Amino acid sequence: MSPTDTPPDPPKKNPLEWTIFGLSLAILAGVLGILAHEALTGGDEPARLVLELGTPLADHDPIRIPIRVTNEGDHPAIDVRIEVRGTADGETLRSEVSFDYVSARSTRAGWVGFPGETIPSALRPRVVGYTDP
Amino acid sequence: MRVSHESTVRQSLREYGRGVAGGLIFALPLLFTMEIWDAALMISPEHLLLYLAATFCLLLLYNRYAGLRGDASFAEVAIDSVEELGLGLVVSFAILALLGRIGVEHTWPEIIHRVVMEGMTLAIGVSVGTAQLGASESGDSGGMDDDEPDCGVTYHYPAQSAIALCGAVLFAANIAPTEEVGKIAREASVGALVAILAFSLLLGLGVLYFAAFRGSNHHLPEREWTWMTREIITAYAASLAASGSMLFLFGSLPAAAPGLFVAGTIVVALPAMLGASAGRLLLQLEP
Repeated sequence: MSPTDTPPDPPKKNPLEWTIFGLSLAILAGVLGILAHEALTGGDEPARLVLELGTPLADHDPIRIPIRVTNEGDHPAIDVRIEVRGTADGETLRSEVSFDYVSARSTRAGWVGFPGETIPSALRPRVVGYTDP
Repeated sequence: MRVSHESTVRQSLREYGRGVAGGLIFALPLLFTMEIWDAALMISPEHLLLYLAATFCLLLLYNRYAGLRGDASFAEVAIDSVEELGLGLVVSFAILALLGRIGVEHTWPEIIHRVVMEGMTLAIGVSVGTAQLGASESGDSGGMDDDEPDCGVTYHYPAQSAIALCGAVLFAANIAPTEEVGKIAREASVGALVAILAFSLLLGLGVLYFAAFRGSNHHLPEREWTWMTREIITAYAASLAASGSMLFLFGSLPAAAPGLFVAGTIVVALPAMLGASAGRLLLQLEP
């Protein structure tokens, strides 16, 4: 075998460098796996927003009601505007909250407020609108 | 890293330190950019995979032609590139968590998207930082290589403090006027602010004294803890001063809300500390 045919020496690394390389390889493999899984199994359904109201807190004015929005679709929703209507003392009240984004298969939480001391009844949340990315 | 020669563990740690500093120098403005946080959630996994692959190719090219010695084999180049990608992702995860951009309220795909989106620029910065920010082979042995000051030192405390302030202002000015500072400051808990403060101090200590950064041995020759403590405290004070002044001048945060202003000052002091440490050394010509 001539000198030019000699295979290159294996990389010279100390144990720390091999450890960092191994961890980096594992992290990369994990990231690639998650992204590939997401790419292969993700559908093409547009954003589907599901709203859920929590228990109102009436400890001070305004009355606060927790709200959760879950995107069950495969696409994110941007600038999500949500309105909540309710009735108190015979009057229809309205409040709203917005979220910058609700990405696919994720949940965001927020609060809506109503003035007064009476917790509105017949609370009805609805999505006013959102935009596609 | 830099596998074309065998390094000691200590040398490797310094290279990783310089890599992290380089990554942050390149990527800090992006880490503080709201549009990047949001774009990461909108981008498809296919595009993110392409971005990752393209970055890996760029790292291969950089390491082949600029990062490693010319006789480095393809295996060495590939190993370095994998390491830099891994470091970029880890640092991206850490900084995003520190800034409250990823957390338990996010799903795994959201976290991965944000970490990858920011981590790619970090990885390139890690590569450049490892290759270019180290002490030159000719004179500056850098950092604590021999635990002895280099000959021809230029240490002068007032001068170093002034240049640290210049570096801090230079780096803080990129971040302080942005809306992101207010958003991060409003959402940060006291624990998160303490973590940012601690990370800033560690970053400064690592860059100035442990990463064998270019020029560090000339400009900061003293290696006793008392001297090092004085330098780190001075650098962080300069960072806080630069950060607070910038926020006040730009009117980014209401001075009438002291808690928020203090939180914002600590947040901007993180990039400012990078300026007061790495930036300071880069601002000075090597003797």
